[in-house]
Amino acid sequence: MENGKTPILVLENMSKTFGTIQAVQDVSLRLYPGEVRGLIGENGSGKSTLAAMVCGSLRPDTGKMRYRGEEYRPSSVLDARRQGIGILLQERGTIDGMTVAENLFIGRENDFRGKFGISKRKMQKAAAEILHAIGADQIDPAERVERYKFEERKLVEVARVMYADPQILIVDETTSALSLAGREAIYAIIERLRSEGKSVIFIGHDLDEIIRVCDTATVLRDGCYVDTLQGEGMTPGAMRSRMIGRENLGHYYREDFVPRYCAEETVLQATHLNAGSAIRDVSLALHRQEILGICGLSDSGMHELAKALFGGIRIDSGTVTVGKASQPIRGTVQAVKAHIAYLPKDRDSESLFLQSSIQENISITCFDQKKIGFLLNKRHLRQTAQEQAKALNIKCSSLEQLVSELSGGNKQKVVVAKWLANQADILIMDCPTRGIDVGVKAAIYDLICQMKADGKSIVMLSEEMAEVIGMADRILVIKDGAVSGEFMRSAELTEHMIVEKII
Amino acid sequence: MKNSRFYRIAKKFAPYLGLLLLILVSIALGGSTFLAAKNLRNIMIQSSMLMVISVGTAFVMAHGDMDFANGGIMGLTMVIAIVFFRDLPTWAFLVVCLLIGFAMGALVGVLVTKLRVVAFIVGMCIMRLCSAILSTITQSQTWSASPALSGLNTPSFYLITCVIVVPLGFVAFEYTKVGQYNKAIGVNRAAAKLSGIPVDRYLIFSFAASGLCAGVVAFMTSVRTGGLSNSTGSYEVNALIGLTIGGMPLTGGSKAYIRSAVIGALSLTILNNILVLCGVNADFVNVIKGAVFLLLVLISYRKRADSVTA
Repeated sequence: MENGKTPILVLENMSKTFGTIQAVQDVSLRLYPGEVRGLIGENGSGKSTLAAMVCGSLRPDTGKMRYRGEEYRPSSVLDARRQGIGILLQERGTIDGMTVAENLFIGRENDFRGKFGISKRKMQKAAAEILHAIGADQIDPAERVERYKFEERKLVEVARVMYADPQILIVDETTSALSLAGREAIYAIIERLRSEGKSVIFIGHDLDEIIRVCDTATVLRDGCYVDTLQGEGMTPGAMRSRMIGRENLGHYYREDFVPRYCAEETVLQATHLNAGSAIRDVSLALHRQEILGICGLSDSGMHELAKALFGGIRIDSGTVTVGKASQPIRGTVQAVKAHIAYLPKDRDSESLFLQSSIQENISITCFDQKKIGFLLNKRHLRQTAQEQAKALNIKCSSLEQLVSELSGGNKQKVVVAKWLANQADILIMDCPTRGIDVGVKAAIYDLICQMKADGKSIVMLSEEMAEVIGMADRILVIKDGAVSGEFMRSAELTEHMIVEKII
Repeated sequence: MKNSRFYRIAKKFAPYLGLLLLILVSIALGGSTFLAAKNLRNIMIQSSMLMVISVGTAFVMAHGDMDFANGGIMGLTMVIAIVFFRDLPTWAFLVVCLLIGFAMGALVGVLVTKLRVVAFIVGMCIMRLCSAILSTITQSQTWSASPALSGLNTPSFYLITCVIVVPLGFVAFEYTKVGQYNKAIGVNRAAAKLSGIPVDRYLIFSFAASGLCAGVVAFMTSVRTGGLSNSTGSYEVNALIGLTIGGMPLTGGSKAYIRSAVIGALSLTILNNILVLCGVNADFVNVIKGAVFLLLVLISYRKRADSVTA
C-alpha cells in the first residue's frame, strides 16, 4: 500500500500495561489514505487496547502517534472524534433515556443552537438526514433510543461517527454483534470511506470477513506486532498460524456428524410458550447430553426465548419444566436452583460484575455450597474459583484482578466458570463465541464438547450458522418468534438449507 | 494512572490517614481539653451510636441506595417503645426495640422493592413523620423511659454495645449472603438477577438490617436521654456523611466495607467535637460537615469524569 503515499496515521513504539499485564508492547504501524486495514489477533493480543489508544479512550504509557504529519495526542474520545478519528465499538455505546437524535449529536449540541437554546427540531431533521444516508430510515430520531433493538442502536452509533466526517474510522469487532443486514450496512460505509480516500481500521475475528473487507491485515500476538499481510498473502491459514504462532491448528468444531444424545431422557421442556410479540407458541425439548442449536436473525425472538427458558423474562402463557419435575420454572432463582445456567449475549451488562474480582464473579453462584449455618465458607469459595479458573485456563494476573480488565474471551470463560462452579446441568448459551477469537473459540467449542461428554445438556443459540451446524446435534430455526424448521445433525446439512427457514 | 497499585493502596488507606490526621490536629488544637477523660468519654458515647446506625446503613449503601430512613425509624421505635412498652423489664424493652426497628426496616424494604418507591423518598417521609409525631406528643407531656434503663447509662454500656454490634455487622457483611449479595447487586443489578440471586428479598434484608441497627440505637438513646425529646439527632445524614468519610462508595459494590462505619463514625464525631471545643458555632459545624461531604463526593466521583465513552 505504500506507493510513495504519505501515511495519514503513524504509530511509533506504542506500549500499554494494565497492572502486571503488558497489553500492547512496542507496536508501530503506518496507515495510508484509502486503506482498509484489518487488525487481527487472539483474545488479549492487544487489538482493542491499541484501538482505544488511537481513539483517545486510553493513553499510551510510551510511544508516539502522528496524524496527518503532526503529533497526535487525543485527550478523550470526543476530542479524537473532533479531530477526525472515530470508533465503533462492539458493546453498547448509546445512552438510554435520551432520544436517537440526542444520542447522535452528543457533544455536538451547540451545532444546533437556535434562538431559544438547542433546537430539537433542527437536531431531529439533521438526524433523519444522516440516518437516511446510512440507509437506516426505519429509525425515528425523536424516539427514545432504548426502544430500539441492539442492532438498530448500533446503527445510531454508526450515524454518530459518520456525522463527525471521520478521516479514520475504527471498527472494533462491531460486526460480530450484528446480523447480516447490519453487517452489510457497515460494509457499505467502509466501502464509501475507501472510495473517498479515507482510512479504516477494522478489528475482527471472522477471517473470511477480514479477507472480504480489508486490503491489508496486521496480526498482533500477546501485545506484539507479528506481521502485516496483504493481497494474495491474506489467506485464513496464513493469518491463523501467525495469530496462534504455530502451523497446525487441529480440529475446530465437532468431528463427528451423527446426532448423539439420550433421546428418551428429556431434561428441559418448554410447552406452548408465549411472550408478547417476541415468542409465539414455542414448544421444545432438550435431551440429556444434547447440544440443541437454535438459529435465527437477531430480532427473531430467539434471544428472548433463551431468557424465557431461564425464567428471565415474563411469559404470557406456557410452561418451562426441568426433568420430571411437575413444578414449572418461574424466575431465575428457581432456574439456578434447578441447575440451569444462562450465558447471555450481552455478557458485560447481564452476567458479569465488571467492577468485582474474578473470584467474586465465579463464586457468586455457589454461596449455598458448604455453608456453615448462615456463614459462607470463604475458603471453599476461593478454592472453587481457583479450580474453575485453572480448568478453563483463564488468563489473569491473579484471581483478585477485576473482570473489567479481561479480554472478551477471558470474560466469557469467567461466565462459564461461574456456572460450572454451581454444577449446572443445563446450559443456555446465547452467542457463546460472540466477540471471541479463533484460538479461544476453539477452546470454547472444546469446552462445550467436554460438557456434553460429562452428561450436561446445552442449548446453543447463535447467529453464526457455521458454528451451529458444526456443533449441534439438532437445530431449531426460529423465525418471527416461532419455530420454522428443525434439522438433525448430518454431514449434508448446509447453511443454505437453514437460511431458507430463517428468512 | 487510576489503575495503578499506588492509587489503589492510597485509596484504601486514605480514610485511616484522615482519621489519624484528624486526631493529631485535634490534640494540637484542643490539647488537654481534647484529651481530658470526660471529653474522650463523650466522644466514645456519641460515636458509638453513630457507629451502630452506620453499620446498618452500610448494608443499604452496599447495593447503592441512600438510606434516609434509619433516623426516622430510630425515632419512631423510641416513640412506640416508650409510649407503649416503658414498663417492661430492660431485656424485654431491648427486644421490643429490636423487633420494631427490624419490622419498620423490612417495611421500608417492601415499599422500595415491591411498590417501587425510591428509597430516599421513603426515608424522607419517615423522617418527616417521625419528627411531626415527636414534636406533637412532647409538647403536652414529658415521656420518660423506665428508670431502670438509666442504670445502664455508663460508658462501658456504649463500648460493649459497639463491641457486639460491629463484629456481628462485619460477619454479616462479609460472611453471609445478605452482605455479599447486596454488594453484588451494587455492582450490577441485572447480572445479579440473571445469576439467580433473589434480588428483592436481599434488598429487603438490607433495609431490615438497617432498621435493626436503628432499633439498637433507639435502645441506646433511651438509656442515654431517659425519655423522648423532640430531636432525633439526624442520624440518617450523619451516617451517610460518616460512611463516606470512612471510604464507602456511594454506588456501593465490592469496595464497600464495614470498617467505613467505624472509621467514619469516629472521624465525624471527633471533627464535631474539636470544632465545638474550638468555639465554633454549632450551626457552622454543620456547614463544615456539609463541605467535607461535598469534597469527598467530588474526590470519589472524579475518576468518572474522564471516562465518558463514545
